[in-house]
Amino acid sequence: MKVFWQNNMALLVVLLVVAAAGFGFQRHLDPYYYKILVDVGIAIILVVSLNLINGITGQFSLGHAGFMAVGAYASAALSVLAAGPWLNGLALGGAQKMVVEFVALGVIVIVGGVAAALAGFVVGMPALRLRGDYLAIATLGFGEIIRIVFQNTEQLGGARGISIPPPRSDFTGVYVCAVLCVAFIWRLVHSVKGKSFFAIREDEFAAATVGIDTTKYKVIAFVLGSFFAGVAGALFAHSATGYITPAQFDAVKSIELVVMVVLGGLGSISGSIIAAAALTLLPEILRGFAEYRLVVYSLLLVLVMLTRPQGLMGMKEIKLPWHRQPYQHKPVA
Amino acid sequence: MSALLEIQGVGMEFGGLKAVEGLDLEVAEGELVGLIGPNGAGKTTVFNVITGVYRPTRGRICFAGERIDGMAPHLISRRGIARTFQNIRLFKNLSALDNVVLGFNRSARQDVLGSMLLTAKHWRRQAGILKRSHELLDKLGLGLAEGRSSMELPYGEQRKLEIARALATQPRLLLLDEPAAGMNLAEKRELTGLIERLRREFNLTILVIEHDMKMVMSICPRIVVLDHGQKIAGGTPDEIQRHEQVIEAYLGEKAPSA
Repeated sequence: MKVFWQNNMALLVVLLVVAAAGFGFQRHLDPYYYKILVDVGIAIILVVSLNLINGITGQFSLGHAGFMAVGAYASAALSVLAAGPWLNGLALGGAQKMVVEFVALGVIVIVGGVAAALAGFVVGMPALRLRGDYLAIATLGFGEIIRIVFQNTEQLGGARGISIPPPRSDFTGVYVCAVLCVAFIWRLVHSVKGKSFFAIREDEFAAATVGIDTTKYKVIAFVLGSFFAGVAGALFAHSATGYITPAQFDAVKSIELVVMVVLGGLGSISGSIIAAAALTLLPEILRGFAEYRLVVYSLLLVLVMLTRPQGLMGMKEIKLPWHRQPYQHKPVA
Repeated sequence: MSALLEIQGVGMEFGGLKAVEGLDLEVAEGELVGLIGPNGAGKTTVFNVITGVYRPTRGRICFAGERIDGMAPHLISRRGIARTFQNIRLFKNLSALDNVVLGFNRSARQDVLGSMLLTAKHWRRQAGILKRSHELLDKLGLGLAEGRSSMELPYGEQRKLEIARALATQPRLLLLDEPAAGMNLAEKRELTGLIERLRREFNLTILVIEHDMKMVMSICPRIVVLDHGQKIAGGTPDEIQRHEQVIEAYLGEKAPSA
């Protein structure tokens, strides 16, 4: 038990800091900056989870927005049909309301994640037999199918979109999810067994000959990545706007996420975090350039990829000083 | 002594090309067998068929009494067959230590939740595997290289690391595909010693493909010769050296005396 607490103390402290910061930001931060911070948090979850599939396991998926849509719509359905009316009926106020809404958000987010994970499993099982370009095309196709299904489901608002009642995903909710997402994926892939994800990317054939069940690991990566995409989708659906349309989850969104993964460095979790934050902030910072905004954005992307084709971080990671590793390499001789 | 590996009438065709044809081969527990033959004779294909990369188009392969032809590669590996590759196939961007850790991966149970929550049990299990990985690297003289990414290692050490990774899977049968390729004389001598030492220490049965005749003749008590996918000879180094068909396969037919 002692080891468990030593291993998780830092994580708990970070979560508490996030909760405290959320409390402060809600009162004292300009709503515009607050919204951008929330967007960054959602982007971090999406990009880190996509990195697990694309960068770490090396299975090129172009359907991440599709899984995000599944999570968003599953959580929206839950909120509209059950959670929203139920919360309304309770008619709580003050601190009680805050706690109940936070717990409700937790349940909603998990439902969104599980729905996306199921979709990931159903799509992943057949699709992961494909390699490289073929997998990319299959997942791209899946993403589009999902979008079109939602677009034609009138019960979920069809192409007009759907308005979602509270609870709202505030800073605390989003960043608790982001921290857990990063911590869990990091711990998984840097565990002894989890190195298998990297091994599959490096040489799938050699991985099989040392006894790694490559199909199983690819499916785990796909399902877990989809789960967190669903979580992000649920948070996105419940963000301040409280309104989603199928068009928000199109192929362009998937590609945008892939761009972030590649820019951060395929396989680098810290790179993904940096890229997610940078590319979410960049368009906002460039607002001053008005119509040249997208030109400058693209130009910066091209410049970075020319100077650092391996991505900002390559495969390297930034490790926090309190980071506990299961093992330390002996210093390089 | 019963046969650990039994290959009966195995054939492997790619379209019209017969890479291996009607091959019979038995390897007894504890044996060290050399597999030689000219380029394109089908030696590596034999390894690929044994390790499940290809499903043989004909015949059967038994390992320790169990039929393994057509099984998935990772399952065959778990039954106790490990291999190295002719063109080194390490996990290039991973450290030497990680390469060996991955070899040990089947001795740990997958515990997704445990690894995410870093439970004490998971932590202990990892420590155990890491200790064994350190020991194995030290045993092969790679202890100082463990933190470096495997593609930065000198060629000879990469070869050794591949053997270390194979040993980490705790095999009973080790298949070495041209382990001495590209090595200089000193490295070859060291490798010869290493193979002997590992065989005793890990109770290994070894099947080795090698082009360096001097090395094969000196370490393998029994040699099998392949040519055009068929076994043309088998026996002790002395017998092989005098075998007419073998000489023919390597040097061509004797010119009719004028």
